[in-house]
Amino acid sequence: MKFKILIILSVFFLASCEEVIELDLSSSEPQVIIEANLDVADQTCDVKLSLSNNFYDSGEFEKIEDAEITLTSGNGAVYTFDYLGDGNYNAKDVMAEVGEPFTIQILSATYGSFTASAVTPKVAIIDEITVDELEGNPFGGDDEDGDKRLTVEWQDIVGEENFFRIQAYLNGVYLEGSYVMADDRFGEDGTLIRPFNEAFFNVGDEVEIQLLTTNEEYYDYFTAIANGGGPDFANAAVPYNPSANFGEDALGYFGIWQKASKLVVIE
Amino acid sequence: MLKRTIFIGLCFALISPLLKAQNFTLSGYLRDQETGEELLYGSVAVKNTSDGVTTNEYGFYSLTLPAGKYEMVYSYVGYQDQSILVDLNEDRRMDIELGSGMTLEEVVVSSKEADQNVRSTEMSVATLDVKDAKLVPVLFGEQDVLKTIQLLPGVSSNSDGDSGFFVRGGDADQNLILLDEAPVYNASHLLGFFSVFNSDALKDVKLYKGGIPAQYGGRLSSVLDIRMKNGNSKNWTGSGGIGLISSRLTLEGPIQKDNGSLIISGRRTYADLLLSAFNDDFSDTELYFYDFNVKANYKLGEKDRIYASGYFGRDVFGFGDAGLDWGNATGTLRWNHIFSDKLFSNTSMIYSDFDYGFGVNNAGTAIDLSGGIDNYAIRQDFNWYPNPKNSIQFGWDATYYQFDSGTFTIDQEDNEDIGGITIPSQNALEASVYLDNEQKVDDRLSLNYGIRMSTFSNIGAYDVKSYNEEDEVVSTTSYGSGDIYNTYLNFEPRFSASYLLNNTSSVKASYNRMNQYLHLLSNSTASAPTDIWIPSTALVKPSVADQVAIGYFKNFKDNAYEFSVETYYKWLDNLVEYEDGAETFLNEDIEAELEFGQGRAYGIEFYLKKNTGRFKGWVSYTLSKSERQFDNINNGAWFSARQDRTHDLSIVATYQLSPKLTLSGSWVYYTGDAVTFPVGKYEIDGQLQTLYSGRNGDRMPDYHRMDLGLTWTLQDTKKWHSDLNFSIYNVYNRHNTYSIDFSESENSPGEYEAVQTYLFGVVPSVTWNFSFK
Repeated sequence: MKFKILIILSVFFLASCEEVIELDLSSSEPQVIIEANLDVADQTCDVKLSLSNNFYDSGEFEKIEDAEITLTSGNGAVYTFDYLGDGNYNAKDVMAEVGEPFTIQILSATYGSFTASAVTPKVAIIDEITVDELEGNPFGGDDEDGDKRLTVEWQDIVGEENFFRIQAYLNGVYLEGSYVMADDRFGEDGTLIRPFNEAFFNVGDEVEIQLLTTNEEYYDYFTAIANGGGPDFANAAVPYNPSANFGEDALGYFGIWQKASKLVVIE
Repeated sequence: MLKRTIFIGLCFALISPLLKAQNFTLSGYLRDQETGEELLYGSVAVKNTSDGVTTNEYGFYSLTLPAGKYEMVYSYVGYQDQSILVDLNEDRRMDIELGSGMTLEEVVVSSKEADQNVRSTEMSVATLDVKDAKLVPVLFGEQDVLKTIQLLPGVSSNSDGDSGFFVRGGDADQNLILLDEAPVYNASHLLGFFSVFNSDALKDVKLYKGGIPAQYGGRLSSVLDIRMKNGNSKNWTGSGGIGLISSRLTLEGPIQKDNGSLIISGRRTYADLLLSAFNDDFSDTELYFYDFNVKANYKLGEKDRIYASGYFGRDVFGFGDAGLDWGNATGTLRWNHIFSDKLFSNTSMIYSDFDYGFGVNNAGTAIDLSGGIDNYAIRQDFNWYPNPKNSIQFGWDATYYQFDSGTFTIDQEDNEDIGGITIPSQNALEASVYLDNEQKVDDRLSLNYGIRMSTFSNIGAYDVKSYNEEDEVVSTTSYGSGDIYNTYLNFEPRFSASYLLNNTSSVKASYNRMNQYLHLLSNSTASAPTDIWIPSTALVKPSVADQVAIGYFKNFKDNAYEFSVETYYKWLDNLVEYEDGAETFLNEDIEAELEFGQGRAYGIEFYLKKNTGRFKGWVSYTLSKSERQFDNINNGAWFSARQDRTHDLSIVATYQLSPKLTLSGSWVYYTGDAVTFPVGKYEIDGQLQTLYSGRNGDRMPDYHRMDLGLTWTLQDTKKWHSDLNFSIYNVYNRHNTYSIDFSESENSPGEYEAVQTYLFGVVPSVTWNFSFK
C-alpha cells in the first residue's frame, strides 16, 4: 500500500500536514522477544533474548540473562549454549543436513519455557547481480541515497516452495534493517529476479549481497514485520503482533538458513 | 409460519373490497409543470380521508375508489398543491403537472405530502432533495449527495473529506448503491474525496437504513437508490458551473415535445493542470477524474415508455512512468408498460462494470496489474393497485456476475517474459423473486409486509480448493464452463407498520432480514480502487443481517417542523475479514486467508428538521455502538468496529438573507474511530518494532468541523440564472486526525512521539453556477 500513501501525499501536498500531538497510550506487561538463527554454513546458532518496554520509554531494552538453551537435531544430537552477555547466547559446531528438523528449547526461571521447531532448507546460488541507474524510478530514494540499484538473479530450487531473504554489506558493514523477502511465486522453478530496493549505492561502493534460503516460518515472520510491524504504522493494514514458531507466549522466531553471497564493486 | 401469515393476510386484503359497491380507477402520472420531469414518491390523496397513494419510482399512481365525486389533492414537497374535483363514474386517466410554487420571498409548503414522514409506513428512510443539498457547503465547492447523506442520523462518514459512508454500524461494503437500478461498485473518485455522482444529473436520492422493501436485496445495511433526471421534455435548457478544481455542464431537452427527452451531463477536474502550471516538478503528473451521464426516454403511446441511461466515469493518476486508473461504467435499458390502469410494470436490463489498472514502465521493465467486477442483470417489477387499501408490488430479477480478482504481468525488454500471475476469474448468478403489500388496515394502522426469496449460484469454469488449518491446499475439484457447483437459497421476510396516534404523530416498527453474497475485501482504512470483490462460495457463506427498529414521528406547527426518534438493533452474521498477516496481494488462495465472524450494532437516532421559512435546516444526533467478534481475532473477544461512533452530531442550517443571498452552515462532531495504538516496543534484527494490545481498543481524537457557504444570485431572469457560491471548509481550522504515526523524536533521540497527519486546514473555494432556458 506504499503506492497509495504516495498518491495521498501527492494529491494533498498542498493541504495535508503533520504535527506532533500529545497522545496517552496504555502501558504493557514486558513481552519475551526471541531471535534464534541457525546459520548452516557457519555451523553456529545465535540466540538473543530481550523484553519489550512501554512505547514512550527511552533507553535500552532489558535482556534475559538466566536462560538455559538446548538445540536438538533430528538425528538426536543435542547442542548446548554459552552465554555471551547482553542477552546473547551461542552454540558452535552445529551440523545440519538439508531436510533435517531441529527443535530449540529455552528455559528461563523468571519468564518460563519456550519451544520452536524448524527444518533445514536447501541452498540456492546467486547467478548474477546487475547494476542500473535509478533515474525516474517512482519508488526511488532521496538525494542522500545513491542512485545505483542492484538486481539479484538466481535459480529457483525445482519442485518445492522456497523462501528467500536478500541482505547486503556495504564496504564490510552489515546494512541493518535493509532486506528484501522473496518467495518463488513469480518465476517458480526458473530464474528468479528481484531488485534490491531497500538501499541504493554509489560508484566505488563494495557491496556484498547475501542470498539466504530460509524455513517458511522465518520468511512469514519477516514478511509480516516488513509489512507493518515497525513503528511506521500508517502502512500497517490492521496492526497486530506477528509471531512465528514460538507460539503465543513469546514474540520472535527460530530460523534456519543457508547462505550464498556475491561481491560487487560498483563502477 | 411468517410466510403463511403473509399469504393469508394478502388474500383477505384482496377479497374484502370486492364485496362492496362498484369501483373505478383513477390513474396517471405526476409531473413537474416546467420540465415535464416525473415526481417520484409524490402524494395523491382524497381530501379529508385517509385514502391515497404515493407515486412510484416512475411517477405513476393508481387509486381505485367506489363510484362517486371526490376532491383529489396532488402534492409534492416544494411544489404547490393541486386540488381537482373528480366525478368518478368510469376509469379515468389523469396526468397532473404541479408548479414549483416558488414566490420570491420563500417556499410555501403546506400539504399532505409534508406529513408523509408521519403517515407512511416507511421508517429509517431518508429522502434527499437534490436542490436542498446544493445549498450545503462542501469541500472545494463540489456538491456531493453522498456527503450530504452523511449529515443524516444513522449515517456516518469514513474519514475527513471522504464520500464513503457507514449506515447504522454496518461496513462500507454493506451499502447497495444504485444509479438508475445499476449497482455502483466503487462510488468514489480520488480515493474517496469525491463521489461519482454529479448532482446536476440527479433527480432523486433515497436512502433506506432499515425497513427495507422486498424489492431490494443483496446488501446487509442499506440501499441508496439514486435516480437520474429524465431531461426536460418541454424546452432545451442547460446548466453548469466553473469551480476551482472542476467544471461541469448539463444539457437537456425534448426529443419530441412532451413525448421524449434527452439529458447529457459531464464533469471533469483539472487539479493536475493547475499543479503543472504552478510547479514544473508536476509537468508529467496526470491527476484527474471525469464523469459522463446520459439518459434518453421516449413515449410509445399512452401505455409504453422506454428509457436508456448510462454513466461512465474514470480516475486517472499518472506520475512519470507509473500510472493508475479506475472507473465505473453502468447502463440501464428500461421499458415501462401499463397493462391496465391498476397494473404498472417496469422491465430493466442492466449492466455495470468496475475495473482498475496499474502500470509501471521503468528501465525496460513493464509491470501491469488489473482487476475488477462486472454484472449483467434483468429485472421486472410490477405495481398492482387492486383497491385503495392495498398496493402490491412483485417482481423478479437475475444477475450474472464476473469477478476478475487480478492479473499481474512483468515484462522485461531484453529478457523473456519473466513472470505473471492471473487469479482465476469467478462467475455467479444471483436470482430472486419478491412480493410485498402496502396495506391500510384502517385510518390509523398501515402495514407493509413482504418476502424476498434469493438464490446465489457459483458457476464454472473454476477449480474449487479446500484448505487445512495451515492454509495449505488439501484438494482441488475442477468444474467445467457453465457447471453450477454451489447454490444458496434464502428467504428474507420484511415487515413494517405505522400507527397514527393523532394527525401529527405516529409510532412505527420494522423488521428486515437481508442476505449479502458479495464481499469486499479491504486491508486498509480508506477506500482503495484495488480492494477486491469476491463472491460467496462453499467456504465463504453469505452474510446475514436481521434488523429491528421502532420509532416515534411527530410534526409541529402545521408541518413546519419534523421530529423523529428511532432506535434499532442489528445482528450480523458470516462477516468476512482478512486474518492477521494475510497475504492479500494477488493470492489465488485468498479464501484460506479469511476469517468469519459476527457483529452487532445498536443505537438511537434523533432528528429535528425545519422545513419552511427563510431559516431551514436540521439537527441529527446518533448514539450508537457497533461491535464484531471473530474467533481468531482479538483472542475471540468482541471488539469495536472501526466505524463505531459513540456520538455523531450534525447541524445544518440555511438562511435566506435576501432574495439574492443565502447563507448556509454546518457543524459536525463525532467520536474518533476505534483503532489499535501501540502499547510498547521491542527490537528485532536491530530494528524497533511496535507492540500492540487488543484490536481497536483505542480511539482517534474526536472529529469536529464547521463549514460555511454563501450563495449570491447574480442574475435571475426568465432566460438566464447565474450565481456565485463561496464556501469555506473547516472554518476554524480544526486539525482533524487522518492518521497517526509514531516516530523517533528529533529533539530527544531514543524517545518516541505521536505524529498526526491531517488533510485539510481551512479550504476556501468559489464556484460560478449558471443555468439557461
